[in-house]
Amino acid sequence: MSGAASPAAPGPARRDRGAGLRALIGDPRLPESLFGFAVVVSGALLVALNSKLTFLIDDWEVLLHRRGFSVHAFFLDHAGHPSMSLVAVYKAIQATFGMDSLTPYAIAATLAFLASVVLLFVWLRRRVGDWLALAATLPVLFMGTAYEDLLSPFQLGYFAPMACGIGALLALERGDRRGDIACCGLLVFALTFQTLGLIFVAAALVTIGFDRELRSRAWIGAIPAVLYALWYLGWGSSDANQLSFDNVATSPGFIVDGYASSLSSLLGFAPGSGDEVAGSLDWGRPLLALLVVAASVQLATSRRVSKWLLAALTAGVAWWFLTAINASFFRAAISPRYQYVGAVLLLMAAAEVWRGRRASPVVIAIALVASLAATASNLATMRDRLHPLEASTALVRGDLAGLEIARDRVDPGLVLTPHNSGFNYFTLVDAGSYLSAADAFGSPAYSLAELATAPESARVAADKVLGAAYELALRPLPAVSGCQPPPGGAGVIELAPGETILRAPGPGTADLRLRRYAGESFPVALGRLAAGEAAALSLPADDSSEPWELEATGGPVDLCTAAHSPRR
Amino acid sequence: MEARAHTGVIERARAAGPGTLLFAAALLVSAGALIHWLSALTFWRDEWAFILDRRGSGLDVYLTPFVEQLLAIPLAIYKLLIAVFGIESPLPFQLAHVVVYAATMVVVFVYVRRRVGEWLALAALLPILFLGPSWDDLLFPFQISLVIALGCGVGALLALDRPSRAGDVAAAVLLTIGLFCQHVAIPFALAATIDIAFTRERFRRAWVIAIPAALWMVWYLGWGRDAQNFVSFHNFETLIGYVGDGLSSSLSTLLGLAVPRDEMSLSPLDWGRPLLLVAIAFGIWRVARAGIGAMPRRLWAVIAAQLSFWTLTGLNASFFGQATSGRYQLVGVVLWVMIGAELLRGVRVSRFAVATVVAVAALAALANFSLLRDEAHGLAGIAEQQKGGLAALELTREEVAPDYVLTEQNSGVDYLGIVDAASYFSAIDAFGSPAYTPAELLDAPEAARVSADTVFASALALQPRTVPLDTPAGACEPFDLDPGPAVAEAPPGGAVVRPARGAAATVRMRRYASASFPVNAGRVGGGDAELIEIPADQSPQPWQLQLDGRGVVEICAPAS
Repeated sequence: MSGAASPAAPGPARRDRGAGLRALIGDPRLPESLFGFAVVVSGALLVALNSKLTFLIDDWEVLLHRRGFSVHAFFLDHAGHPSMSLVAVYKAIQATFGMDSLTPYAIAATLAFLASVVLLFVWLRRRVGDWLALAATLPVLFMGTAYEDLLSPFQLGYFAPMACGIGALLALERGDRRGDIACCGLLVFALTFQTLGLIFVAAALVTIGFDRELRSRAWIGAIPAVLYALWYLGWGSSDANQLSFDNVATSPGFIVDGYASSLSSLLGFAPGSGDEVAGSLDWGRPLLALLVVAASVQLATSRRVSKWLLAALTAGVAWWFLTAINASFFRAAISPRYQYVGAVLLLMAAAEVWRGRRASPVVIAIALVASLAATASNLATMRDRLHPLEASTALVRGDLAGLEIARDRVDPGLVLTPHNSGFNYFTLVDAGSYLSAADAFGSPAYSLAELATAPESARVAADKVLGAAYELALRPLPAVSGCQPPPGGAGVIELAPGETILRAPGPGTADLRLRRYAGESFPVALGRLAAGEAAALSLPADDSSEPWELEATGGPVDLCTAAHSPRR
Repeated sequence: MEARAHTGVIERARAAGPGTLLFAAALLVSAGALIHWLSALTFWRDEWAFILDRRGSGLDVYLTPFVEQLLAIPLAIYKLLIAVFGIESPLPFQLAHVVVYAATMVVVFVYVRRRVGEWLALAALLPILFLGPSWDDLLFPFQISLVIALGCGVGALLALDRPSRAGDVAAAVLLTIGLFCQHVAIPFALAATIDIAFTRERFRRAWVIAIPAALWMVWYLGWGRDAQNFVSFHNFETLIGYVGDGLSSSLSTLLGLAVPRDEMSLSPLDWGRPLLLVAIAFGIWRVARAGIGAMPRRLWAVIAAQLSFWTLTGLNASFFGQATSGRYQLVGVVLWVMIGAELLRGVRVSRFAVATVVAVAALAALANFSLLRDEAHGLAGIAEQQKGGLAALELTREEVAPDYVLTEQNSGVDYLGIVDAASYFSAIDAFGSPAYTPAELLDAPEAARVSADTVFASALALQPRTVPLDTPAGACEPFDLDPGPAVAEAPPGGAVVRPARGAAATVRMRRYASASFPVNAGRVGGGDAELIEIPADQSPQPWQLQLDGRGVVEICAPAS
């Protein structure tokens, strides 16, 4: 029987446990492993979520309107930005995997996103250590407040230049020739995805200028800048931007709002979209003010402003400035799609402010708890914002299914609009381009069987597009005969393909609407027949066996057998 | 002697550093821009009260409170300018305002430069030179009252910097002038009181405050006591929030963060409140670090001035006097700058920090400039409307009722109920007219002509009357409205508008307008006609009628 150990004197087992815990915390492999695990989870989650979606807006510009391998197809601007590499990636996936699924595109974009976060982790750990780097990057990996980036493969156009840009600054940090060459190459590569790469060119030049080596090393930034200028002169377009004096003059307010919005988004305070997002600034502004005070105290205490801080600030200010001068109703500082870039650049600057300062275990613990809370909040936002994207996906797939059903008769020039499809494609989807691409690369639309069981909104969308594609309308007839009430009496009348002759016997004016796949409404408005008026309706035959259904409200309609020319 | 003084100025200019020269350049740009924008404006709102309601020269004319304010000196300036230049052009008034504004900015610059050097003084003044959110101070010459009071207040504290008899006399004189310009001088009088109270000669120098205060009290007891004000218990209850909001909005205004953008609405409080917390934290840190005894006594004086300014404004708050009102921000901003200068007095600031502050200030100035420019364009539109409306008033002089008052409804411009026909005619007879001439009105912008038409209609009391279809009339001209609206010149003296069976139309009128028919003249149809009587006036321009509806409608001359 061994006696109980004295409570005042810790036994060997407790000492060992404490030492073990400290050793575990001190072991760099633990935060690395946790970060690696988080990266894998984030990647799997993002691919899984993206796989529920389809191409929405910008993707169509590349998928439909950049066919072939001409220089023009690659170098033409996308909304004013260079996008050669983005187009190349899309083309490669389109040629390899087709376009019937978003998943391969999502995998490419997610890999670029994860690469950018891994490089951010490297940047941060060099400055504030592994644990704080882990705490800082966790919310970024699951940044639901930036759902417009993380749930859209087209934002490869942000992820890739961010990865290249951070990589370029890390290469520059090496301070050797090989690093300089890598930096230059990465900056050039970044600019082939998006203008966003320019902010890292500016950051690199500030770093080199800080070292007073502009004369000997300016080429690192000059080569990408010159190449960008050449692209701009050749293919760039100023039509897409909103540059104005007011936008330039009010850019300082936009820049600080951008930083504030990114900070609150990172911490999970921004709820998502619409009016609610404006509320993110309610938290963001005081939080940014606090951060600036804390950073000022730290800088005043350390009496050191490093070139890397200037570089990160240059990139951040340049990012928000470029966004500010192009601001519009759809491009506010609080837009979710700007928050990922803003948050990453904010973290890069903040890490530089506190560079080299040893964080106590308590600080690390607080940071990790805050990080987990922010991550949880961001995940909740991601879940919330997924629903409207899924609804849009159903709409789009329904629209495209409608186009495909009508493929033999639709005017190739028909452009899908909010009016005729229920979704705003910003005129990027026309029947000819889409059907041609679907023939070549597969279709992301619902199949006929899927459409029949798709959500109501998708079936309504398909009916709307069919109505527009077939140009369904009543053709007035002067005289008809053989009119009988429909077999089933008043209510819904099933119509076969071919011409149907209708007459309103009165009383009342009959308001006529059609549906085919919709179950709860009649989305295709045909018009009205006043009492005694008659009209013909032509319904083309197509691959779908689903019958059309006619609803008359306000007054009855009869089905007639013959139309007569007016007597002379 | 004069040559020596002249040489002294040149020497000082040569000795001025680049920061001072840049300030001078910015001041010139500011003054030039203000004159350029003001030249498109005319007399507005309260200025009309000076022009129309303060005629004569008795003591009461000068000392009767304007709302609750003593504005004797600004009124004297206006009366002097009216006597010398008349009111045909507002330019002399505008130049006086800009000169006073520039002088006040110089005084503030000197105050700040003495404490923190020329570069930080430049940074402090840049956003104020183009203070867009305070456009109603910068683009409204009536606010010369506030600007003089502000300049005199800062000047008085500057004079107290050097404890000398001359400095004390200057401070007393400036405070007196300030108090006779606007109540904004009161917080500065309080600051001067605290400043002197901290000195050993506090009792010997008390006259510096006592004389201006006594003069102001004489006014208050004689004239100001019964002035209208908005002081209430509710204002007292909400005072702390008001003061906090006032401090917040002037901070965001200074930093250019109160300028709304197209894509997002913005209140001065959005950034102001966080910034106020930062400012308070910085102030406490600075005082704790340096030690409370090491801080200059003036710091407490200007803090008291800032708090008392917002307290007095808050006690008198109304719907038109909220803490975020642009016209209060100029004073709040200047006092913040003075507080900042006292906090940083004697602190060595690194070149990098100075460069950063100057860059931030330049960006803030740019943002403020953009708002100032936008507001100037908006005011220019109002000025055009005013000049058009007043031209119409003058052209109806023989017909308009003397007690006819211009309002937003009858002219498109809110004159605050100040401008009535009789006072206006009396003033233009004595001092000339700022309105468009009839020839100018023809070529004036559409907005001016629309405003003129609405004033014509109301001044001539054009009231269409419903009359029976068979009302006797002169020659008629039919118009088929089915293809579209018809436009016809109204016969002299008016018109009878007669719809045929089944016809109906809305009737609108214009005289000088060309893109629209601003005067609604009713609707005909349903078996009734309409008689529009148009009295003759001094304008040869005919009226036009627009008919919009269906069927055939006749326009007839009234029966002779």
